[in-house]
Amino acid sequence: MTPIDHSHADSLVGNLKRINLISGKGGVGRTTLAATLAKASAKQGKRTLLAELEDDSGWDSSLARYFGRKHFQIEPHEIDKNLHAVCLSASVGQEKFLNGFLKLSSITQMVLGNQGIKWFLDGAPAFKEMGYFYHLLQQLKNTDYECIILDLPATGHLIGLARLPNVLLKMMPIGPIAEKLKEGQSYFYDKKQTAAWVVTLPQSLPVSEAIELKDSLTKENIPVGGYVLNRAPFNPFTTEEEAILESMSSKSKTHKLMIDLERVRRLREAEKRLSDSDQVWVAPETDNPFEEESFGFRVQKFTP
Amino acid sequence: MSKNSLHKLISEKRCIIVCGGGGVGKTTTAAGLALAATRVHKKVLVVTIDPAKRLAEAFGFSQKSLELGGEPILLSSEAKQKLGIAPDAALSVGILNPKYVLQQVISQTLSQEQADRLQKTILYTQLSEMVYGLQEYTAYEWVTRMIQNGDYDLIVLDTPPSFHAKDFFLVPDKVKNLMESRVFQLFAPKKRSWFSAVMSFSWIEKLLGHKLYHESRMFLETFALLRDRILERCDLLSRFFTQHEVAVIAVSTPESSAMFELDGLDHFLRERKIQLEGVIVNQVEQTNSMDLEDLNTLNDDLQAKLKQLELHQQKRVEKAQLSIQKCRARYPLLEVVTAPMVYEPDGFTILKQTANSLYPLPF
Repeated sequence: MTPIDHSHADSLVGNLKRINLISGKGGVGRTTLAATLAKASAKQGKRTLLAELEDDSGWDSSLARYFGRKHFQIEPHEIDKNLHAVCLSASVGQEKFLNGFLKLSSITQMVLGNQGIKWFLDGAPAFKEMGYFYHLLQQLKNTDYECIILDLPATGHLIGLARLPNVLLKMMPIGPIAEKLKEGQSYFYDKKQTAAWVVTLPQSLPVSEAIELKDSLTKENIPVGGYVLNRAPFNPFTTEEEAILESMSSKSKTHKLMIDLERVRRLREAEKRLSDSDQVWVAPETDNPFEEESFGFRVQKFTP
Repeated sequence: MSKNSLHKLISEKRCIIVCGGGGVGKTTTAAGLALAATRVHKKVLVVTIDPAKRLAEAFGFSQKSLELGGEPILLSSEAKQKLGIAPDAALSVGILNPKYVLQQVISQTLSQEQADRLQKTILYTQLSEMVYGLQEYTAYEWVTRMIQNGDYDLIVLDTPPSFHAKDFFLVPDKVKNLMESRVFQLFAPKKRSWFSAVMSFSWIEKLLGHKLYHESRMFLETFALLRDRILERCDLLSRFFTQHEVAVIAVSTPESSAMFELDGLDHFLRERKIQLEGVIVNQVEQTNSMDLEDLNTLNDDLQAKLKQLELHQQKRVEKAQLSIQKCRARYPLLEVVTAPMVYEPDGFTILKQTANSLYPLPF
């Protein structure tokens, strides 16, 4: 194993922004990566917040599982040295917003106690996302955190959150909600402090999906930090050696080299397609990344 | 012998629901299963959403038909021949487009004027992204219609991609909760006067602003008209999963996160008294068995590297086998079928290989 560079200049951890949106399709190892990055960032001595969206089906959180918990709480709480965690909740966000809007929590309680309004907030499309959005905004504003890592379960969530301000601002360009939306946009669109990281695998379909996701994020003005190519297989060959093996493999009737070479070929192809589109960080395939102390630092920038 | 029960499901059921977490190859498995089913049945339908391009190519579909979705498409005789399907059997593919299905529900339930009014709201255009469970709900609407029509001997349903495998089964409750969440009752015509007397909307209007408030209100008022129809379907849907002619099977991979997901699904289904009838462990790594005699011409350095790679592969294979053993021990009453990781470049071969590993008979 290569010795760890203490400046971490080319590691993903060394390139994290203050606000990091970890996104990608299911099954690409996104949650594990979010957990390892948070751990590595905290280990660097940065006060770090790890956030996830509440899963309202009441299922145990697979992110919290890494830290020996069933769930994270709705207020930031310490889970390790320098590391806090929070579960963003739509209803908490709505309540906090109303509190700010109505100034007095007793009035908020009265308004939320009104079944009609409560039902409206629960049921009408966009208001749930608005709740998440506001709860997230509260965390982003907390300057105590030097690094915030948000694990976004489905790609739809990120696009939904990203698009929400634009959609709603069209309908209500002024007013208390509009103010908050604009405030949120000032964080989301700021290249200096925010980056979305698109996690994917070295296979053709996940790569295509990652490129699509990156394009739609760019369309919504969300700055993209780059791709994280996860579970990259061990590849010891030089380009010349690959060419030799490739020609052997095509001559050989048994194709016994196929699996290994196909794996390497896919990695190369993924690296090429992704690096044509944006920066790529490569996370090596390993048994249990979270348990490996230095794994967060081993996610290194790809140079073609 | 071990494959009997998957055979049995294919032969005896009317509908097989294929579920699993993200990235386990659910769509390919469902398509492979449907392909295998053409050996037993004359008319098979596989319903999928957002099919992979490679898979679509294997079925011989154009990009355009994929984007449109709509009614199921029958495979051409050319595609059938390439996939090894008997000339007298038919395989259709339905590509789910929630907007298309919802459109049908709306035009069956609402007047033209109401439908226009609903579809003009900004909220409606955001509906498919904003309303949780809409994809799943429309998938069900579609499949029940196909079953009622009796056009197919077997329907294989590839459940929409979601955060958790079990999300599909939560849809009746979720959609029901949404439709019963009184926000709709608030705007249901007969109740409005009563509610208006009790509460004032001015808070909401002040908060949202005039335009959004009226948009939301118009949307909810019209959407509320679909309520009874949707609620009735949700009740049917809750019972659908437990019907004798419907089987639920799960797809996983040997990865520990996928197995964790499978455990969660199993636990959840048990609580709901829905029986899981089979497990397919997909993407199982195979031994590479490199013949080093072939490689004698290579220099030592390269040979050593290849051996190193071989060792890595061996480790993957062992890890996968251990995971499968654990899975079998955990589900002694279920048949656990494995399907290898496929390294083929084209869709035809992938589908045929998948079908063969699920139903090991030569075509």
